[in-house]
Amino acid sequence: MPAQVITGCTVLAVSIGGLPAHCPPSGHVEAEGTFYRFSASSLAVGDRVPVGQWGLPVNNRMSEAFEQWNDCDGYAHSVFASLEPLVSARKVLHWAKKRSICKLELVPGMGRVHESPSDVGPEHYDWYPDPLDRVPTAVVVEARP
Amino acid sequence: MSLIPPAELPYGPLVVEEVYFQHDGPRFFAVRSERWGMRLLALCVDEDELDQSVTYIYLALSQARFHQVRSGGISLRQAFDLAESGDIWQVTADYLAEPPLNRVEQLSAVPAEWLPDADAFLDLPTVTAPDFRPEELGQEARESQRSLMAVELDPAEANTTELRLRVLGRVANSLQDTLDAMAQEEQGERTVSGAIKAEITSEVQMSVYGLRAASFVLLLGIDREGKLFERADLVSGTLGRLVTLVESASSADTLLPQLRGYGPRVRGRFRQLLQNAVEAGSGLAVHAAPLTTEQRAATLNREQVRSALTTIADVSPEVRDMLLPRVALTALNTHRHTFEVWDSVQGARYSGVLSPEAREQVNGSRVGTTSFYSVKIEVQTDFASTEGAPIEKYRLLEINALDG
Repeated sequence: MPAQVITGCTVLAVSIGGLPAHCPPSGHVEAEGTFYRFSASSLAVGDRVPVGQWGLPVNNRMSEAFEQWNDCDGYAHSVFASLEPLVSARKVLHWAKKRSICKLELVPGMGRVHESPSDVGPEHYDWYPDPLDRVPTAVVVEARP
Repeated sequence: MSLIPPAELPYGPLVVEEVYFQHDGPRFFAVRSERWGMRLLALCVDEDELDQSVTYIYLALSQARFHQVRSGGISLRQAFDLAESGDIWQVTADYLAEPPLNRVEQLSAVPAEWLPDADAFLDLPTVTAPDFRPEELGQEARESQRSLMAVELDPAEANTTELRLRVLGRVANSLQDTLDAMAQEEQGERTVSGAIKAEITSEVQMSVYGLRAASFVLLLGIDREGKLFERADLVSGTLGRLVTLVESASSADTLLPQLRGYGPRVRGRFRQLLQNAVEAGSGLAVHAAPLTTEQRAATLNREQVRSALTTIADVSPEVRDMLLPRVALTALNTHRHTFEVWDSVQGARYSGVLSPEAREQVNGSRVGTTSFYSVKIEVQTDFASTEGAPIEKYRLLEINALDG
């Protein structure tokens, strides 16, 4: 077990040094820039995304990576380089229609990003926060439709 | 324990094949049944943090229907509308259960709010035919003892190996016309108009024998009906000419000298081929594998095809005067200012428009085959006229009655 993560809403105390071997995958770069992701349905435009919503997949019981300590996917948040893929996802997924969209600014020192495009678009990145419990300032820019 | 893809569905082992949207895990994706080859589209519709559950709908699709959905031929909503009984499943991943498990329920209809919007499409290039492998063309030619060629089109907007029949027909016609015209030049028997000798066209007549991806590769072979052997020298020379000409079309500096080596017939047919490729929104690639010479290929992207077409269209027509010492005036229309003369010695007929000077001169001229005239005609030869347009246009400049 390379990392000891305490599950829960806010208590995470692992440094990026605790990632599994070869994680992040090769090609990762300094996290820097504006990114977007889905956030809770109850949030309104201008609201800050609460700390409790930044649990990593490895700590999220509803994730395929839950307690998969050697699975690199468990240590990253999905973020998008533009709003467009999230808006498009709302046209397809009821799950996405029920969510707000937040914007976050990543600056050097906040971890690494690795481009991990889906089969339809290049905009998806995995953000590996450093330390793993790093909570960015994220503000809702689009409320649930 | 992984709940994606669900092992509980009755399609045998499933594997996630493509992910179209991921957000801390796959949310919209396709899975393939390893046993049946069919696919299921999976859409995440709900996530309940209190129940610790995530709900997906899975839609079973035949391979053909999946290709249609994936390429954007039908919308995601249509895919659900067209589903047959038993094709839709609600799968709720229950993560509170110990161990976590999928609760599976067959749906007769999807709740309306779960359906994708009516204008939501996938739009991905989708392989629906075997891949074209250029390196195999030569080997196939040798094995079949037949010259082969492949024509590759990449029409814009095409996500599958499909091409409208009308578009294909135009491209195929102009390709065969180009080969016919080149074959007679290869034979040293250039003509400007009229039918090309059947003994020439029959040697380079192509037949379609296959289709490959991507996006659309037409496999052609020399038609062998009625002949034991092909005229390898003529075929090889003709196919080689086509590849060289396509190759030269990547630049005006090389295209025009090449075209000037040909008569107007080849120039016109080649222009038509490029025109048809442009109308198909496509580039053009030709691969030739003659029996007796090395395989060759030439490729033009869409921009190069358009540019070559413009280069050809911009060349001014050639203009010359022709004196005919004794012709009969066989038709005259003073309203439309048109004429026709017949040169019985050369067996040639010329028709066209009257110049302003000739309009005055033709007043009182007798139409028929008993009065004779000497005429001066301006001949305008288009550098490369497209299909249906005359290669030569005539304008009567002068007409003088011959005594007696």
